[in-house]
Amino acid sequence: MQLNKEHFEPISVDLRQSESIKRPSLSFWADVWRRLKMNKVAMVSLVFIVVLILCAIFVPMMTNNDYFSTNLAGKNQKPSGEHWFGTDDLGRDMFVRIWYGARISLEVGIIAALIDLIIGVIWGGIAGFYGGKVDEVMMRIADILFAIPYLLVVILLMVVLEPGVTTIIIALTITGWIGMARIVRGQMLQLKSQEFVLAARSLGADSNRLIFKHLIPNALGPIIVTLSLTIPNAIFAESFLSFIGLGVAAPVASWGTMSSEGLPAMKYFPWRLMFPAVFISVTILAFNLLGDGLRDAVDPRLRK
Amino acid sequence: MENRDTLIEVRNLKKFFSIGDNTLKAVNDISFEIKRGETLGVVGESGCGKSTAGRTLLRLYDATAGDVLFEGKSIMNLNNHEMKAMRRNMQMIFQDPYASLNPRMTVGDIIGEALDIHGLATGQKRKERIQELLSLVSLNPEHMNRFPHEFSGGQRQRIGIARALAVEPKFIVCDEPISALDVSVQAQVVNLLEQLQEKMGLTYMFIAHDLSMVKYISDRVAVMYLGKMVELADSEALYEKPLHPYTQALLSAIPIPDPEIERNRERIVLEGDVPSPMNPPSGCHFRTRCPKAMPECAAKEPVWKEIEKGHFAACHLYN
Repeated sequence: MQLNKEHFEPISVDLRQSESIKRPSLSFWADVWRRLKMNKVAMVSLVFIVVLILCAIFVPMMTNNDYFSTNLAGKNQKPSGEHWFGTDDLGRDMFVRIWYGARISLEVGIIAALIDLIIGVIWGGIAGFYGGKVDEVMMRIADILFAIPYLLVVILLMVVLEPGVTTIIIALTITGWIGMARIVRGQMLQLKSQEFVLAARSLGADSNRLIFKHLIPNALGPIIVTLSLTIPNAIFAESFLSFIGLGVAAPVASWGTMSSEGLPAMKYFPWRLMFPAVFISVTILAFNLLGDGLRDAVDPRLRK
Repeated sequence: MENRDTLIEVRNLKKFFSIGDNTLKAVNDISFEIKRGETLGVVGESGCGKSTAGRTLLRLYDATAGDVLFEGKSIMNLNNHEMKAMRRNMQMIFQDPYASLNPRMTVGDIIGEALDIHGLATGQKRKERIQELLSLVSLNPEHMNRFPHEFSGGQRQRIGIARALAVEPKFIVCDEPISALDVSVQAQVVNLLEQLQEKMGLTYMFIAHDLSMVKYISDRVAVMYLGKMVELADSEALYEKPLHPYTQALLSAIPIPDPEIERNRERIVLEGDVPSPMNPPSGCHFRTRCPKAMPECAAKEPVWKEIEKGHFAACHLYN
């Protein structure tokens, strides 16, 4: 068959119709959540942390025992129906003390991490955004602070201030924000030369808009990962300081002081050491595993 | 073209970057005009300063020296407030469609950002305007709630175009807008740019290194080498009768879609690499690779002058 011009007719292609997108729209964070849900280890850690937080809030409220009443007649009891985790050398209920300790540990961990976050993001953000001399001076100050031995700072602070939760938080944050500041600065340096930032500038965006609409949202992934790994460090530091006697003062319970008190009795009353030690370890492990999971979820390319 | 008024005038523009103790002369004393409604193509090898020139022109970089006049008014001394208003006139389309859209913002917010910054539309009107802009670049208006990663390179480049158009600019610097795209999509984007130019009376500075594409879209073409402009002429004149040896070499690199001619023709192949812009050769920057170099070329810099009507070049051959 002979094909002539008449056999053909132009069909108009509408670009708009040919380019429909079938995949459901997912924002970045919805995608992160989807990937995180696939990571079983991270999800178990997340559930553990949520349960831990809920118990720390509600268990001390709902129990008849309190963390400071002594009962010398019932000291060093084994775990039982009445005292689930047994009692300590002054007859105080270990179960309640563990959850009070959880309150202190979580409080220290979360508040210290949030303060690190705020100082670190502002410091690193300014240094990275403005660059040049500003960056140089700000990061050298951070380096100098970082070089002061941290135990020295803590001991000095304990001499000046009263031992307690606030002092521990101040001690932890005085140098703790530097890690966050470095991460944020690095992100800023990398992001600010990207074309979308240039595009926003050519539209006339001011520094505020650039920082809060373009730079910070894109740096949020690494910031959250760093945050989630700062919390277990702070919890560990609190336990450690309390363990060596630089932390919270009696009768307040903290996992560190409880371990410290339980240590001499390890041979005869092992549960007095075991319970706080297990809680410290598992909590720190859970936060670390969740942090790793978050890192993989935020940037899947990092997963090996 | 003759009787059109001048929209952009660039006078002795310089942009130097200091790197350690060295100075990188990315743009070294260039002057030209862009007429209203025309497309000025700018070509040159990578690193010759074309992108820097485009960005300095829009004051995305602070110029080291020189002046840029928009409709006869200098933009170099404007304060922040005046510059913000001026930005509505001059926009930019970027090279990398993957890096030029903020991955955390929806397409609607990316395009709407211009409206927010300049307070052009809010609420329902903002939404309508965004959808109108998406239609203008042949994208589905329903896609305004999608994120950039859901689009292809060509679609993303069109989103970038819509963003630039949101402020109704008169002048757009297109910084290699097609070099990151597939060949099939390149034509789509170039045709879209041409249609928009016709519809909205836009003026383009079109930076590229694809000579045939530049010939297709440009009214006039400027050739840059190592931070200097070496030749500027009407598109036809430049391709018919290139004056500068560098332009001649560039043009001879364009493949001709005819195997007979392509096989038998002789190419000008330049020897060596582009010298470092930190330490350019004395006199004429091109002399180290120029097949027609003379002793004079090392001694003094060639002067930028009009050799034929509307045809500028900087070369000692035409003294």
